[in-house]
Amino acid sequence: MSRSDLRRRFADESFWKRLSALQMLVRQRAEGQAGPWTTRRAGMSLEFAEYREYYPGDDFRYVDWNLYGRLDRLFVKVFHREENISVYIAVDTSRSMAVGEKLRYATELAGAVAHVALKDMNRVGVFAFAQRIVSGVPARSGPFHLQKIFSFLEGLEPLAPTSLSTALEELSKLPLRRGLIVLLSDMLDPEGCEPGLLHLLVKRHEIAIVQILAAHDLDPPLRSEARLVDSEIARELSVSASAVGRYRQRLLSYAQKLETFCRAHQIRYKLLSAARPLERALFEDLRGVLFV
Amino acid sequence: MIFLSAWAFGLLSLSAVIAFLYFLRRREERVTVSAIWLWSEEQERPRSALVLLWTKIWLLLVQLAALGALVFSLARPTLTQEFLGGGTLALIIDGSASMQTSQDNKTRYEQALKLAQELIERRRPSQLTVIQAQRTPKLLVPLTEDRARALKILMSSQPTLQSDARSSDLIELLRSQGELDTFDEVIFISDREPSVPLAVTWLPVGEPAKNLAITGFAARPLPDGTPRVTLWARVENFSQEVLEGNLKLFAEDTEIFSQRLDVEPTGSRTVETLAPLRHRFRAALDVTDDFAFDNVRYSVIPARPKLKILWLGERNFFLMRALSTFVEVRLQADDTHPPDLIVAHNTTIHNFVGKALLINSSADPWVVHTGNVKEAESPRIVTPTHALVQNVRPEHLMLTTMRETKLAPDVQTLIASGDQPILAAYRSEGVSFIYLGVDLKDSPLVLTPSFPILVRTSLLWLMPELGLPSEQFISEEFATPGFAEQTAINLDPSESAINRPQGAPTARREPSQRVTESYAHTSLWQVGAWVALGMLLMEFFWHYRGVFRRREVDRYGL
Repeated sequence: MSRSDLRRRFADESFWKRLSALQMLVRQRAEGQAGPWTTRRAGMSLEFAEYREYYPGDDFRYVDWNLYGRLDRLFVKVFHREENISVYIAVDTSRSMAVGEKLRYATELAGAVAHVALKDMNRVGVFAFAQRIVSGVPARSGPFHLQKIFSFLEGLEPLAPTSLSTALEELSKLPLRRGLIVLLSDMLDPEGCEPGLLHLLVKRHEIAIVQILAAHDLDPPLRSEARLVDSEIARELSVSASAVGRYRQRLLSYAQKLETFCRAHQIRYKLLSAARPLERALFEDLRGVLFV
Repeated sequence: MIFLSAWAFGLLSLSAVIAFLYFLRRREERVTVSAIWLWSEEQERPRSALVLLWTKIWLLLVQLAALGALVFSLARPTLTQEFLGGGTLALIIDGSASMQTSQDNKTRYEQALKLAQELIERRRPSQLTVIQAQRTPKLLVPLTEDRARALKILMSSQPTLQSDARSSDLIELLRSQGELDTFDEVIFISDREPSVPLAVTWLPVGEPAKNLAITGFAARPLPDGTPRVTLWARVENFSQEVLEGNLKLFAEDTEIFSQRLDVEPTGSRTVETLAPLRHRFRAALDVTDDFAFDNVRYSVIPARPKLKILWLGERNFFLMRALSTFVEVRLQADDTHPPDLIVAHNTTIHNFVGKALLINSSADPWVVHTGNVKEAESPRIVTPTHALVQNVRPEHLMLTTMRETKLAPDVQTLIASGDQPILAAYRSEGVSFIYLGVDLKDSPLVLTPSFPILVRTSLLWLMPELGLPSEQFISEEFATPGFAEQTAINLDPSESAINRPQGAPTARREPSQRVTESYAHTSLWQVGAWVALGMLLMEFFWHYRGVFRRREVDRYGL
């Protein structure tokens, strides 16, 4: 994707306004710097959390003198700490993402998610992966970080075969704060992605998967005999048009199996067609998955 | 089935183009897919060569079938069926004696009826008339739309013993049902080819039959005046084989002659013998053949009544011959014995009693000649209903001059010239006469047909008790008192020739060919068009079948 394409997409003022109105959906307390998200950790927010017995060295400003009058013991008030969250966007750049412009769609989605997360002072990091983590932008917050993310996304190219488990396991080993990992991929890996996802869950990350499939993946345009060429490995296969129905059954069965796994592990999941307009995907389909 | 536009079959050459384009398009296209492992199971499924071949070419077969159906439609196929209705049909069925020839226990007439029934049921004419053809043809069914009723009448009809019909009579009868051009077809079912000056379709019935027939029989008194009669008979063989029979001759009911005859195929034998003078004679042939009605013949010697005639005035040869034709004349010279009839020719008589034929003669006081001669005018019939003027043509009584005649008031004028009577009649208790004001010497009347007619009717009018023998035509039934049969009949000799003429079409094959001359055409191009459309729709749905399977992924909102 060229630089101008992604920025032109977000240059539309009405689209930008609607996008700015979105808010990330976060279901667990995150670790981070002060931000919009209230955490269980004690902090400096206005939201009262609990009383704690006074220990020497505590700030006298938080001692509850009324309680001391009634109980004759010193207690300090503990407040929730308001923190930002870390959103990690993992974009699949395997060669299969080049089929049907899935990568372009994924980068546009990634840009939109990054914008929504950054506007609320969250930290956003972006990673590109194929067989492993290829490159990335460290998690940062602030408006200038969005430009950096856009530049990164615009430079993504499909590179290598997919190995979702390997890539996700590698991601889990990175020294990341607990946060939301948004996985943008076609999720097509014959070996599956479940082991990698389990590694991320062990690290107590919240995961949201957006499976992007091309229109050609869903309905291959075969009219008669066709020679199928795999986009990632050097393998070819001759099939007739009558095989399309059976292929579609297997694809949907694969997607269903993934969805079942995600539901069992509280992973948010959404299957999108790359042919679906981005606006409808953002403002309709991904509500409840990525956005509130 | 016929094709009205057979050129369309040339379009079948497009099948080569279709096959070329099919295989051109069928070449494998290279498609890059995201995950070939989702397709890999396809390779593992074993398939027979036949299935693979079918998989490769079945759409081509559909396309070729669509082209074939389209070409079939463009060729305008037409199903030709027998004409199933409509039209006006005139059906003439031969009812002459030869149609009673029996073969295989069925007569030709019964075969003709069956043929007619099949014809009507298959043709289903909107209007139909049926005529039975014999010497006196009969309108069996007037022009009607009721086929069932026509069939019922037809099937209950019977053949006659008459000879063949005259074509003029048949045409006259047809015309009584409508103009000849109103009939779409005139069909004649007969055992011999009709000679009708009209476009008719002949449906022959009957096969060559075995027939030995008496075709001639005559009795003639000997001219020498002896009371004997010469009997003459002719026996003909109309078969293709030698036939033998026993010919017997009868005078009244007494057998007077018997002879065994062997007759060659298509040959004849004649027999002549003397017999005692009798009134009625019969010839009978004992033979087993297919047509029995010509195995007996009759001959009657007319018995003329004897008449005593007192002839007055001039003799006339023509009048004498005419009288002798009808009666046995016995002239008497005087009236010592009362005569049966007085004939007066160019003379004058007075106060006679009895019956008289006055030819240009006066008979005071009933007919009086004044002595003046007048110029005659054109004769005219004064009393058209009188028996004496029947069949007499007035112009035959044309005269140049005539005697002035005065009639008694009771004498009835029948034909007159101006105010003068030419023919008059009178009848009272003791006197009756007929007056003919024509001089037979000068008039051509004696040479005209009206003269014998006038003489005969005059005799009958004057003497009804005579019972003059009426004219007897061959093949008409006539009373024969004393014969074993109440009625006797002489067939027309032509009816004995019951073998169909040489070269006539075969009985059964010809009708079916004739019947199918009319056709109903049913166009079938729609069938081809619908089949072609169906084939193309099938291919269309097969080609875009993916569109109809999208429901499976709808639940993903895709």
